[in-house]
Amino acid sequence: MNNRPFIRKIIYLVCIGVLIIPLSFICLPATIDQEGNAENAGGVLSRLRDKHGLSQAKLSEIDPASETMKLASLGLRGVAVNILWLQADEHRKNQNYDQLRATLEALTKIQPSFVKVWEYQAHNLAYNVSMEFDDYEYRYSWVKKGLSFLKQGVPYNKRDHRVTDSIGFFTGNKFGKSDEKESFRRLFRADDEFRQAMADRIDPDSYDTPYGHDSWKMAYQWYDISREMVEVQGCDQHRSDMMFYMFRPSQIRNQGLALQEEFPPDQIIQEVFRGANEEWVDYGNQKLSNTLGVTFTLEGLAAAEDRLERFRKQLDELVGPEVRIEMVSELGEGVLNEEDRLLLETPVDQLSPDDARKTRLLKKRLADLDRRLDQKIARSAKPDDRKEANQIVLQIEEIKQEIYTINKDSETVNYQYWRTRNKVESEDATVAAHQALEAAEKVWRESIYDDEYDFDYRTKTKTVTRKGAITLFEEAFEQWEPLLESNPELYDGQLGDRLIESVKEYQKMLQFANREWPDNFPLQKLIDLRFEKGETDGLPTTAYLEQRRADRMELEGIDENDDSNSGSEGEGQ
Amino acid sequence: MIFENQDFATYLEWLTSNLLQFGIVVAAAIVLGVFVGYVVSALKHGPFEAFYVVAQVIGQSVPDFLKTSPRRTMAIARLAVKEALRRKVILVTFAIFAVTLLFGGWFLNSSSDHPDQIYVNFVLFGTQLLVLLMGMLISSFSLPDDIKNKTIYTVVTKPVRATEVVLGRILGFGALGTALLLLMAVISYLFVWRGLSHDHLLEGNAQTQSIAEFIPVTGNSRSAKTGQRVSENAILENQTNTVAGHFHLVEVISDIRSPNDPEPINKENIVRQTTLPDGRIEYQRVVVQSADGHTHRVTVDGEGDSASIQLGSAVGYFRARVPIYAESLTFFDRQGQEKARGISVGKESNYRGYIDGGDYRTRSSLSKAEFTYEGFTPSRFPRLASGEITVVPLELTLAVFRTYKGDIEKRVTAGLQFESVGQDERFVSDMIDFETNEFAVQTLPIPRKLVGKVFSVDGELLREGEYDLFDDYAANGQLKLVLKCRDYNQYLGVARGDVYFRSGDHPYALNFFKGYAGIWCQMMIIISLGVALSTFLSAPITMLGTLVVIIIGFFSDFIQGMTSPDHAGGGPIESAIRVVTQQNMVYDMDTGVATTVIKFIDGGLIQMLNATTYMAPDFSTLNFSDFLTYGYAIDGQRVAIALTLTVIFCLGLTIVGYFALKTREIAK
Repeated sequence: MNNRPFIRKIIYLVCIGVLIIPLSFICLPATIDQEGNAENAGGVLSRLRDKHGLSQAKLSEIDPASETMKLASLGLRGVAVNILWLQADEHRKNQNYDQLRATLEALTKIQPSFVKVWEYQAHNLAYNVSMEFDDYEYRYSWVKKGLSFLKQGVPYNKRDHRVTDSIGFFTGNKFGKSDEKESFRRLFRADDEFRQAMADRIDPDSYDTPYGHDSWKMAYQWYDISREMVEVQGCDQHRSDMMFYMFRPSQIRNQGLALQEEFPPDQIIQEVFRGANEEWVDYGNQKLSNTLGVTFTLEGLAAAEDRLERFRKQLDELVGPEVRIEMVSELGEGVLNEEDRLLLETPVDQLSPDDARKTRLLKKRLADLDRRLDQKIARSAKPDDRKEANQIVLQIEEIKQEIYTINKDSETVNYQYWRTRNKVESEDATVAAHQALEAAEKVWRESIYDDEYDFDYRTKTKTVTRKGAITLFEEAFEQWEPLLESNPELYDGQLGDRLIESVKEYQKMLQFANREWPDNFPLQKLIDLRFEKGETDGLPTTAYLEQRRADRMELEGIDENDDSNSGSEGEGQ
Repeated sequence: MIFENQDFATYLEWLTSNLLQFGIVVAAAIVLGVFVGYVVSALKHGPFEAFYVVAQVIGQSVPDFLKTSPRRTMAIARLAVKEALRRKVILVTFAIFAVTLLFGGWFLNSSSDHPDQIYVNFVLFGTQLLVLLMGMLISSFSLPDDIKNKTIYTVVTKPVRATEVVLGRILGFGALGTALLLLMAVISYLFVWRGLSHDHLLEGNAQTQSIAEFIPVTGNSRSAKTGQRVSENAILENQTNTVAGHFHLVEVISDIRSPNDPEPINKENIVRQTTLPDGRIEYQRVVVQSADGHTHRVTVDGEGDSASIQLGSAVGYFRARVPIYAESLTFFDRQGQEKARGISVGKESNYRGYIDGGDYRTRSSLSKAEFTYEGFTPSRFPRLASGEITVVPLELTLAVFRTYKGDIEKRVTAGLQFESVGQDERFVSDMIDFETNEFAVQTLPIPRKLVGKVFSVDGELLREGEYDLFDDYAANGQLKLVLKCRDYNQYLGVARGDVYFRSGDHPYALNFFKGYAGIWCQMMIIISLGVALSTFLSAPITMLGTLVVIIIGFFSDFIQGMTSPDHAGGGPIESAIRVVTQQNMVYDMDTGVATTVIKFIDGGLIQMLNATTYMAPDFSTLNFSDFLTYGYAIDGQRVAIALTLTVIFCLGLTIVGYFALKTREIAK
């Protein structure tokens, strides 16, 4: 009886010994020969660790401070992490931000390869803590602290692009899009200390521009590192293709937009947009895949539509062209008018570009009415041709999926708008239009609204010595009008907003100078389109102007049917 | 910065407010002790016999306490010291401390905005943790091991009283702990001092270090080098090299004074002195702008462009400000009605109340915070009395809350006004407007002579002029300071500890050691607790019990927070259900029998949890680390309160230990 504890201990020891044997096989490390070739791949755990890049040496640089902290927690790492998170939250609540930062650094020493800790807490510093400070210089300083904190996470996560992505995102957005962007970017340009602090990762020359060091260009460099990690080093990609490849080219465009706000328009900014255009088109040509396995390029819409047309033609040839026409006619019953039907029946090569666009839209409308139209057409094939018809339909469905994806993703990243915007901004005519607007605004700021002129009493002629802001604005708007007309996408979005702000100033000046809104205002279409979309700019629409003209004619007793040009005459009176 | 550890009560106020509570606790402890003793004795000897046994023990305790011999107590203390040294716990604790300091620098970020706070926190927390654990280990094992090894017989067979056994051990371990703590304090002080000391050189020629390296400040009041704002009167600028993760802006300030004005007190940094055509004198002074909570002293050798500039060591890290806090703080709302608290702007912490600056409709908002100071006399400002300074330093740590963006590059403006209190004539100074500096200790030099108005009791304006802050405004020693927010739609946050006059500074080293006095108090309580528990518990249980008390002492705020009625998520069972079912913490649980039962059980568990916090002393009263972290002097009242608490706890635990030992077979 007295031997029972002893026997139990022996049994425990034997069990431990037995378990050690399989454990040693599972954990056996890989061995390499003197030339570095693998002699033995190691145990299951080693192989799995290697396969998923989970070994410490693969995950990150081995940091003695971090390892010491982990060891010092004596296996209570989880407890220590919880206490530190609570402490960090307490410091944040009590606004002890320096101690918050110190706690976060201790936290990341214990959890160095947990990307979310870096991302979350860096966001905390750069966004939440920075905005607590009233002084913008302190805010700027805390944004930098957030970035520096995140940068410390790079060597610990050298195979995870999310850290560098986040640095790029914070750099671009905090310095370039926050309320304090003007002050932040000015401080950034002068901040040699921050440049030196980041120099071990990003060469300061790589984001130097004729206007000084640019935060957006620095963000571009961070995204470039992410791209290199995935494309060259073969690291795992943690975002969809569409988003992952979109970030880098967007930064150049944002740089151009920021420079436009900060400096007078010139060839340097034009050159930036040229670069942005190239990058954006490259992105459009980049092969992307989504989670459904659809591979596409954002520039590939036209090619995909051509292919779709080709396969449909093949299908029509197989079943007879009349089948589709009949089915479409049935579908279009009550939907299509005579003109639409005529367009659909006209061969594509005989259509004008405008009619071809309309036809495409019509077909899309019809296709939306019945998404299984092609399958139905295939079913009417002769039994001998049905297999071939079904194969064609399969191809058609794949292309339709591709087109759907391209349209959806293009919309998500606003591809077409930015493609047009970058292209237009890199043209000489746009730079001239910007310069004209800038010149007008300069005179407007000087409160010179009307033209200054010399009047020769002898000849009764006026010579304008200096154009007023109203004239300069009108001239600038005239330059913008053809640009918008040839690139209708630009009526929407930032450029439209920017122009409307100038138009509002122009309106105020007219009111101040007691002048009427011109009937032939160059950007009238922009005003009308925005009004149709529900924007409340408070600017006169064409309908309003027509009503005004009609009211005036009624008042003056003039039959408007008699003279269609009476509006301008009326204004002159 | 939220410095919540300020207790404005004096020692007497604290004592009188706690005396009744203390009396109740003592009475309850006696009743409980007698009852427990009687129950234990009744189980052994029967109910009647037990009565005599308890009476006998109580009767014996009187001579035991009265005749406790200091000589024998010291002998036991010596034995305790020898025993603790033999166990090498002290040595191991010191070794861990040394290793921690050696490698501590790896984890400390000297480029932080306030590295002094990080260094001081690190050494204080490390020392506190190690010393308390050491106290727990040496006190928990001593008596149980002696009893287990029967070595206790060598003591109890001698004419030694149980009080001497308990008290001797507490004093012996305490003496050893004190020696270790002193050593740690000295080493920590040197560690902090060494870690923070650094020097800078001016950018440019390292050899010459002259004014020629400076560049003119442009008209936009921003540094051409860094883009940051420069001082108002800066005419030249430069910067230092980067050391310890930071650099300083160095400016030449143009200080123009009339011939009747006093000369600058610090003449070491004057690089050029010129008499202007209008007779005024311009002093061009080199100043180093503050960065990371410190600046550097400037010494100029020579004059003009050829003058060489030397930057001294860091100034500002080691401070022990002596604040004169207001006796009361009163808030007034926009309509001028007195309010118990300021406006809440939705911050998680309720430390500060907010006052608003009105809006475009209510341009003259009556919202304000009034601070009333008592005993406001020049004698409380030694540097002013000695002529070292000519102004009264007022320090503020204000919070700002913006409801709209406004001018981003301009800080929110606040206004200060001084008023007399309870005098026949009412002195009201003109408003002093200043830009706030949030999250920093802002110093405003208030001149002794302030322009203001004098009103009669009826509110009639009697006269206007310049009046003395002490002789007129605070002629009776009372002074009112009115704080207002001067920007529309913006808010200022303030607490009683946020606006104070800086009387002077205490020596930092003394303050540092006072901070360690707090740790000493905690250590003594833990040692007493360990010894008291070890008289009737085994060593591991004693250690566990003491550890639990340490943990509760450290986390009492957290535990009390969890047990407060407005704590989101409910009690332990409800929280567990929410975790498993992934329910939102603020979403009410479905009503029903189950919920009622859960809430009932949770209520009981929460009460139990809350009760545990009363088992441990409130370590926050004994913790002075915030004073050292934020650079405030630890006043004698606070230390006296801590020492009183410690003595009471130690005595109480000695009595508990005595009775526990008496009830054991061994002690009879």
